[in-house]
Amino acid sequence: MRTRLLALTASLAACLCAPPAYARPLPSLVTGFTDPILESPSPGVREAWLGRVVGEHAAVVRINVAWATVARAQPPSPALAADPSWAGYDWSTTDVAVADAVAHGLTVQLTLASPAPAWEEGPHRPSSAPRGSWEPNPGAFASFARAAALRYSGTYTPPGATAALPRVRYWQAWNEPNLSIYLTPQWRKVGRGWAPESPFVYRDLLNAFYAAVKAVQPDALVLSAGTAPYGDPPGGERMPPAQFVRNVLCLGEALQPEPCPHPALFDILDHHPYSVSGPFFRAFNRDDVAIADMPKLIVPLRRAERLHLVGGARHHQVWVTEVSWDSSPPDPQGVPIAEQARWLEQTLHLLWQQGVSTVLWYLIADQPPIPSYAASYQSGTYYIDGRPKPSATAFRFPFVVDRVLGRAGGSRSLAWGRAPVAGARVTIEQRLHGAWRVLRTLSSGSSGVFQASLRVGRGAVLRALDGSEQSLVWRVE
Amino acid sequence: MLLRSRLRFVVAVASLGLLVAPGAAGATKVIAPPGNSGVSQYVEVVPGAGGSVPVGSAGKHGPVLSPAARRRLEASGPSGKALVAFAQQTGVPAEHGKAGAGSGSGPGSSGSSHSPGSSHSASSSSKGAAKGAAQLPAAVPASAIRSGGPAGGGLGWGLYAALGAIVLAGAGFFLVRRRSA
Repeated sequence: MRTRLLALTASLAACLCAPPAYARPLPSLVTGFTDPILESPSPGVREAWLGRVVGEHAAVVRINVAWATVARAQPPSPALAADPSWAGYDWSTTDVAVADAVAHGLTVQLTLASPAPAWEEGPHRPSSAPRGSWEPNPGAFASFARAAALRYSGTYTPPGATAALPRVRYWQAWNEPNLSIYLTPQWRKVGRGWAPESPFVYRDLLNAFYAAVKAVQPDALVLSAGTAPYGDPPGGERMPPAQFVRNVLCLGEALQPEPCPHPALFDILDHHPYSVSGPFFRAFNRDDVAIADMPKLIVPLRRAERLHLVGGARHHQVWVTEVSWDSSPPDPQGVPIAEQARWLEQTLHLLWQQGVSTVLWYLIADQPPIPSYAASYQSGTYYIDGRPKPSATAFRFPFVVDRVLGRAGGSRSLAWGRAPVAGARVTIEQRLHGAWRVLRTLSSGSSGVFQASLRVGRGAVLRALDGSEQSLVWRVE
Repeated sequence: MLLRSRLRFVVAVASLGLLVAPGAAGATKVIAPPGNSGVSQYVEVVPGAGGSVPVGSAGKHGPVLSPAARRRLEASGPSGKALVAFAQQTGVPAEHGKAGAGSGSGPGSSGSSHSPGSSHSASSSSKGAAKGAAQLPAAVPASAIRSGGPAGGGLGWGLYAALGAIVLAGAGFFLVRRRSA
């Protein structure tokens, strides 16, 4: 009796002491950029753009390492292939890019990807397979990954240098492996039909990479390659991403477990959900994955976790390391400049709602229109000359207000945002009769993310303020 | 005798029409993200209701998007509706250059996802094809939609030629057999 009373009292105390749901910090949203300009050989260019990245309150930058670009010669032995100081490797571009990013207080995510050196491709490469894509040697890739993980372990000092290179904690194996441009073969002929092949080629690469990196840095985090959003029918040059990921996770079409002698090993699932329309647009095809379709990847991931068909972290994070739209100006066919900003904010919110914890926008700086606007990217939050677009503010201080269905069948407005500084007091204001009036004041919490129900209707004009910073104006639709 | 020769001629012509007509009418459409019609790795292949349609003549050839595709776009908001309106109002610009199926000419110079070196001739062509089209809502660039897919395009007029050839062949065969009997 006494024991029961004690247990009841303890439970009651726990319930009273636990913070109410609305007061618990909301899941965080980390942001950053993927942009080749951050790997520029010019120190001045890197400095200028890293400064803007910091000004955007971004935390992560993704830096790409092309295997064939670093490996200038064939290693004479596996030992040298895994040696960060081997003379056949040219790490110069990566060294300065990583060092500068870390010097600006940024977290680096390093992607080791194609093209594979010719000598590390599989035999009998068809002439149709892009160079550097054909059945890359997993063992060789692991050696290369080990060399990189050692070089950026935080304890390695290059010959002639006076200080160790900074540490990189986030590592990614390959890029968009569901595209033949980066990995082949995508399919193999079986009778008169086609069977997936690239998921299994990729899983071997991923697992070898994972083992190599973890052997050097056990607490590093390994990302699976970001998958491209759309595929082709069987036999085509692209595999739909949901199908690709299910196969990597040893799951069938109905998410039933498949034979899995070597479960995939990674800690973070990544995807690139470029959309052919706005952020709420869902892909036409079942296994294609646009921004609003992330459950097509997350549901199989959680199922694989429950069935122990995937290794690495017990609960895998989900990241998006590329997403964006070109803006007009400057791209005449891009999304209107104000629309780009609005879509950016909606994208951050929608991805966050679906459980994505980190979003890297593709490009901080517009690219020059070479060879043309259509074949280059003007999706930066800044123009090429350094002027900010409205999307720069949208990225720094995203703020959206959606009409949502209420419990009683009506609708209400729900504001969501991410303050530039976590924990700051945020004020939401409404413009009425030409003047701004405070509607709500709340704390952004430790994650910086805030959310509030507002009694405003369609057409309401709102903004959020965080001390000296303010969001773009949002009109409720 | 003359009638039989004429019938044989009709059957031969109809059969020839069947031979030259392209295969099944499984036409698809390819939609690129706004502003990136020259980058094939991120295009979405969409089920189509017919073949490629010349700009400005969509009304004569029926819908350019399947009902399911149209409903999906319309449900995605103002931009999707504008995309549907554009497609149905102006038809689909003819596909130029390589169809969008990730058929990049090679990896880029770095490990990044984007390979400027693998751009296609479709880049300027797709924008050129939009000229003369109806004024687009600002959110929907003309280059967003182009006809064709991995198979290189739908039947278009060829569908009607094939159907006509089939009808003629059937009629001719019937008449020949009846005559023989």
